[in-house]
Amino acid sequence: MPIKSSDITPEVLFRQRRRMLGIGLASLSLPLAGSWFGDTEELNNNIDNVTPGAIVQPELKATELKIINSYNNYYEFGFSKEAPSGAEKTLITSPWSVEVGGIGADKPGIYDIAELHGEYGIENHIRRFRCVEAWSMVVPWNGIALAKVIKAAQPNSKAKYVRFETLHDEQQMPNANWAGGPYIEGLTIAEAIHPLAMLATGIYDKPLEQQTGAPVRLVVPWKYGFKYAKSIVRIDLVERMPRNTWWRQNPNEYGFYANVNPQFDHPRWSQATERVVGGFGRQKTLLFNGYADEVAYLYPDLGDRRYFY
Amino acid sequence: MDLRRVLWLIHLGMIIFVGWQGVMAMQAADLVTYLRDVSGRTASYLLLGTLLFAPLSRLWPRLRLYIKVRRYLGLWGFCMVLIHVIVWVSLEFAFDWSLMWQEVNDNLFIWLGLVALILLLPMAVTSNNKAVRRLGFRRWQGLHSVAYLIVPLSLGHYFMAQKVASGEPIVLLLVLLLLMFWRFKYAD
Ligand code: HEM
Repeated sequence: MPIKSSDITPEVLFRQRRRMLGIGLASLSLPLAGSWFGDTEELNNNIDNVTPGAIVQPELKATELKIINSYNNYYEFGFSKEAPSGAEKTLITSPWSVEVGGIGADKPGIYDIAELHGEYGIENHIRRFRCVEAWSMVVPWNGIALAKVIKAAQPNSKAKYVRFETLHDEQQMPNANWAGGPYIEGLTIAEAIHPLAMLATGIYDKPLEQQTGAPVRLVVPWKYGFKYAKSIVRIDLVERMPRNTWWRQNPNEYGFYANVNPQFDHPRWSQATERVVGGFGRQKTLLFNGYADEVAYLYPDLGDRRYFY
Repeated sequence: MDLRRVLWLIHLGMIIFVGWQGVMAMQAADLVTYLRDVSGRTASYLLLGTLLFAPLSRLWPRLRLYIKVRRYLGLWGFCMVLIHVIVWVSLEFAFDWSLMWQEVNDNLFIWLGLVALILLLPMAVTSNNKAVRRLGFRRWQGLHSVAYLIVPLSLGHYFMAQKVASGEPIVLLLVLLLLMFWRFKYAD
């Protein structure tokens, strides 16, 4: 049985969410957490109603581009924060194609970046970015709504999860094999069609750099940074929960959902506060990285630890 | 080489190193993490280095002539820990003591660092000839064997501060393990 989101979302929160999303997500019977999507038509309707532009955050002060481009985690190009930006520019980002497919896609396709832009239009969103290592930035992304790409693939009833795969090429990446294979990330289908989820291709109206995940990366602002798969070459709609790289690396410390929550500490450090990169002092971390009003309905039990690591 | 010249070179080297790292930090994307991490790492090398003297001077008895080098490695290590902690208290936490207290309580790895720091204090204060004389060599030596606690605590702290089990602290911990093994085998 599908559970109505209004059944599990406190009324106030739910109304706030609808206000925030404006006319988006008209359907009130959004299935939860991607565990159930009985009706493909309903899924497609939901995607149609995604209006990412409805969520604006004018109050955020974006981090300088210089900082965004020089403080990175991209293990394929080195393990320190400085290594990825210092690495030789060996990644060939043009031509580039993203293959969209999987058992849950009735209409697989191969896209290049220009096609993605041309077809879906570029959106600009300033979003908080919170790394699992307890530092944060504010990034003005340019990109497209992930929901639109998923919609184009015509998801069927087997599309329960979305699996993202990063390029895996020893010639182009000095540490291509650090995790023993390509970097994998995943979302539930409900998360993936959420208006906050985007495929970013630029920052500050400039194309992504090698170290920030050129030419296209995932952006899911309510989750920890390791979920933002970089340099994506494949997007698959799949039936089973993908085993994402960090989960595989250390299942006691990293899981699938990885939603930001100041109350649920990492086994070895606190998530209560964060350092704003480039600044001084620390600030308090917010539930779902400040996007609780928009995304809390996706997670039926906020006390469930699985959602937060 | 004459001991005084070696000591002089160590001090000069460390002063140049600190200045150079200061310049690097100004160019780093994040000044605060850069300073915090480089001082923490340098402290770990120096503190681990002090423990190498005993086994190495058994191999090369001539090294005993340079035993004073160990004292200054330790003191420079202590200076690095001070920088590390001062950066943490001032630049990272802006003197917000309640937030710091919360952070210490939430993070086992910071507890380890804090205990290491507290144990370092009496050692740093007694790293001079006067203290050796006042305490008597046996007691002074007893006090300074706390180093065998401080270094494992520091390296445990370093290891736990990483997102993933990473190479460098593991190598340092292995060196430490070998050292400890030697220590028990040849304890005199
Ligand atoms: C003997 C004492 C200590 C030593 C040798 C030491 C050494 C280190 C080292 C090597 C790192 C890792 C740097 C890196 O990742 O490159 C580190 C990180 C850190 N240390 Fe210490 N430390 C000591 C004491 C302390 C104390 C007393 C505190 C705080 C009260 C502290 C707070 C931290 C913090 C916050 C980090 C950063 C963790 C992160 O990456 O988020 N340390 N320390």
